[in-house]
Amino acid sequence: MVFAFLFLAPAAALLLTFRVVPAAGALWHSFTEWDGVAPATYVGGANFARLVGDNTFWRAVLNNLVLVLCVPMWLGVSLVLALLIHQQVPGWRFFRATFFLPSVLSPVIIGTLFSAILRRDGPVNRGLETAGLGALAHDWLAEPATALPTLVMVILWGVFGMGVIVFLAGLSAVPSEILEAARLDGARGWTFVRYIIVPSLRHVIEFWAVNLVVWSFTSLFAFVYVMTGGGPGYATMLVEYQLYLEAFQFNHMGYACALGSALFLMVLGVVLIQIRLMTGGDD
Amino acid sequence: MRRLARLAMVAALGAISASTIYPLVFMLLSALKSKREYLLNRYGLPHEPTLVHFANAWTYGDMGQYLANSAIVVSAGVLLSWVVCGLAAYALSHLRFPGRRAVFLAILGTMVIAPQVIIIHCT
Amino acid sequence: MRGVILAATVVFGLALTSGCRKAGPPPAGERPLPSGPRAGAGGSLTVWDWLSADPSQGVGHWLIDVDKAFEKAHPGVRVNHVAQSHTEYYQILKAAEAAAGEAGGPDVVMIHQGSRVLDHKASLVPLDRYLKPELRKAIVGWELTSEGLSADGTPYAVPVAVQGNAWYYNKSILTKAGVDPEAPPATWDEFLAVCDKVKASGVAPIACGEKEGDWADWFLNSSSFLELSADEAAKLQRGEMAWTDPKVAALFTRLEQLGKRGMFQEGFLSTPLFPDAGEVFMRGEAAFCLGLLSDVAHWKEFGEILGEGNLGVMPCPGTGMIPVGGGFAYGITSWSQQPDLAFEYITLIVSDANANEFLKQAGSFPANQNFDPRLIADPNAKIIASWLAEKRVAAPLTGKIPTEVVESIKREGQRILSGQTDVPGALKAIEATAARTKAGRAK
Repeated sequence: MVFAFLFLAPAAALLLTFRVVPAAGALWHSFTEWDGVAPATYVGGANFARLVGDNTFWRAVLNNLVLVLCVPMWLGVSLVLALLIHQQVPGWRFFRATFFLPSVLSPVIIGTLFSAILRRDGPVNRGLETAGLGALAHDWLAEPATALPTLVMVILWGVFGMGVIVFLAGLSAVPSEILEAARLDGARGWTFVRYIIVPSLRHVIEFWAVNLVVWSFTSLFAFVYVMTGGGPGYATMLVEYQLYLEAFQFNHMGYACALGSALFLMVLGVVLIQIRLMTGGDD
Repeated sequence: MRRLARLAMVAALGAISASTIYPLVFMLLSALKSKREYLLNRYGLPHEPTLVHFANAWTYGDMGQYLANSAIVVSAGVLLSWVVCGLAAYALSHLRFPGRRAVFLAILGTMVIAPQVIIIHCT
Repeated sequence: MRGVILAATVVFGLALTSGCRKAGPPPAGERPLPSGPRAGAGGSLTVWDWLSADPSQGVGHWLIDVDKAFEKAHPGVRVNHVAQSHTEYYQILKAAEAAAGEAGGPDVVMIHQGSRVLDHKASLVPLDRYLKPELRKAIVGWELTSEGLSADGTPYAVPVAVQGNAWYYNKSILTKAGVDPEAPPATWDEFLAVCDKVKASGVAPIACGEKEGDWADWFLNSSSFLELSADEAAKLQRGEMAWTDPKVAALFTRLEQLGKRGMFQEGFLSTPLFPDAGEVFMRGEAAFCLGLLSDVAHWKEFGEILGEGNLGVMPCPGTGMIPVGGGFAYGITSWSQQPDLAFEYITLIVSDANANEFLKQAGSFPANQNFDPRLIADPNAKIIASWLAEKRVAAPLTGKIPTEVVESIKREGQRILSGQTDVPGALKAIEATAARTKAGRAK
C-alpha cells in the first residue's frame, strides 16, 4: 500500500504541477476578463455567453467533429498496413522502416513540407497534369472545399506510421497458434480480420482510437498554424487554434480560458461516448 | 491471380513508402540549393549544390545552441519518463490498492487538457 | 495477460503522446531568452529587431555600422544586437515583457508604428522628457507612435522609417499587352481595362498573396481613397461609421471584382505575401504588384531584379494617394536599467547622417526628413519622394483599428476571394467583431 503511494508520487507530483494546477487556473480565469499582464477582472459567465454566440467557435467545433469522424480512417489504414507487415509480405522490413519515417518529423516540418508540395504549381499537381489528370489539380490547402480534407490526409501521413508500430506491438502479443488455427480453418480476408484479428487486438485498438481522438482535439496546432492558419477564412479553424488566436494574438486570456474549458468538456464527452461505444459497457 | 494480387499489394505499399521518402528527399535537395535556385528550380535536382545554408544555420541560426538544448530536453525527458512512468505503471498494474481505477482514470483525464491552456499559466 | 498488454500500451502511449505534445511552438514563457548580461548591466546595451537577420546587405548591414559607431562613441559599452524572427516577433516581445528585467532582456526594441505601439504601451518608456524639439520637428510619423494616435500625445517610440504601399508594374509586360508603359492607368476603370489586356496577352495581371489574408488588407488600405474621404475613414476607425455602410461595401466590392474577374495569378490563395507574391512579380509572371516603399518588396529590390527602366510605380488609380504608416520605430523598454543610454542609441539611429545611410544602404525612406534628397537617384524612388513631399498620403485604413478587427477583415477577405461569402455577409461579420471590441474597450 505504502509502496503504491511512493511509486505513484512522482507521477502525481508532475501531473499536479504541470497539468492540474494550470488547468484549474484556466478554469478560474474562464470567468474573468484578462489580458495576461494586468490583474484579471471578474465577469461571471460573460465569456461563456459570448462562446455560445460565437460563429467562429461553432465552425471550429464542426471542423473538430469532422476530424473525429476521420479517426476510424486513420486507425483503419494503420491496422491494415500493420497486418500486411505482420504477415511478412516481401519487403516488410523496408516498409516498416519507411512507414515510421514521418513520425520522426515534427509537425512543423511536416506542415512546411506539405505546404510546399501541395502548392498550385507543386509536384503533386504537376504529377497529376503529366498523368493527364490535370482537371484534378487544385490549390489543395487554399480552396475552401479541399482545405480540410487535405489537412486530414496530411495528418494521416504524419500519424499512420506510429499506429502501425502500435498495432505491430499488439499483434506480436497475439499467440500465433490462434492465427494459424484460424487460417487452417479457412478464415480469409475480411472474415479473418473481423473475427480473429479485431477481437485479439481489441484493447490496443480501443487505446489507439481514444488516443487519436484526444490528439485530434489537443495536438493539431502546429499543422494548422503552418499550413493554413485556420483558413481560407475559417475553413480549417479548430477550437485549439482559436484558443491560440484569442490568447496570444488578441490578448483575451479570459475568453481563451473559457474556450479551453469548453474544449476540455468536449473532449471528455466525446471520449466517454467513444469508450461506451467500444467497450459496450463492460470492462 | 494470387500472384497478381500480391504484386499489386506490394506495389501499393511501395507507393506509400515513396510518399514517406519523397518529402525528406525534397527537403534535402532544397537544403542544397541556393536561394535563387530554389526560386527558379524548385522541384528538380540542384544544378549547383551548395552547403552555405548549413553553414548559415550553424553561425547565424544558432543551431549549435538549439541542438544542445534539444539534447538536454530529450535525454532528461526520456530518463524522467522512464523512471516516473515505469514506477507509476508498475503500481497501477501490479499493486493492489483501493482507488486504483480512479487514479488510472484521473491520469488519463489529464491527457485531455489542451497544451495551450497550460501555457497561458506558465508565462 | 490482457492487463500487461494494456499497461504496456498505456505506458508506451503516454511516452509517445508526451512527445507529440512537445511538437508545436515552444511556450512563450519557456523559450530561452538570448543569453547575455542583465538588461542594463554596465557595459552592454541589448537591442532587438526583426530586420537585421541578414547582415550582409540592406538594413542588417546598416545596423552593424550604427552599432560600431555607437560603441566607438561610448567606449566600454557593447551593443548586443539580437535579430528576432519577423513572424513571431510580438510573441517573443510578450515573453520579454513577462520576464521583465531578467538577464538578457532588451533595452531597445523595434516596434511597428500604429496599433502595436499602443498594444505594448505598458512596456515602453514615455519619451516626452527625452525629446528635444529639433528631433521632434525633423521626424514625421509621431501620430502613429503617440498616446491616442494623435501627434500631440505622449510619444512611446521614435519613428525611424516611412513605410507605405504603392502599385508597382512591369513595363515590358504592359508594352507586350499593347499598353503604354509611361502612362499608367489614371482611373479605376482604366486599371481594370489594362488588367484585361494583360490577361488577354497571357500574363496574370496582379501578383497576389492571400495565404494569410494580408494582400486584401493592403488592397483595402491602398484603395480606400476611392470610396472614403479622410473624415469618413476616421469615423470608421473610431467606430462611428458601421462596416456595413454602403461606402465600405463599395470598397470591398472592388476587391470582390478583382477576384471574380480572375485578375490574380493561379494559386494566389495559398501564396504567402512575403516573399512569394513579390517573387511572382520579380519572375515576370504578373504585371502589377502591391509593394512597399522601404526595406523590402520595394523599388530597390524590384528594380534590381526587373532591370533598369523596366519598373514603374503608381499610386491608387484615380486618386493619386498612397497609404503611409506602419513603418518601424524604436522604443525603450520600461525595465531597462539605462534608459538614457538607450535613448542616445536611438538618437544615433535617427540622426541626419544615419538617415542618409539608411536611404543609401537600405533604400528606405527615413522618418527624419533632414536627409539629403540628392541621394535619391532611382527614378521610382524620386516619384515616391515627390508624393511624400506633396503630402499625397494618409494613414492606412486598417492601421488604427484593433488587431482583432484587422484579423476579421483578413479572414473575410479570404472568404470573399475564395467564394465562401459575398460582400454583405463579410461586412456583417466584420461589424460584429468591431462592435464587440468597441464595447470591450468602452468598459
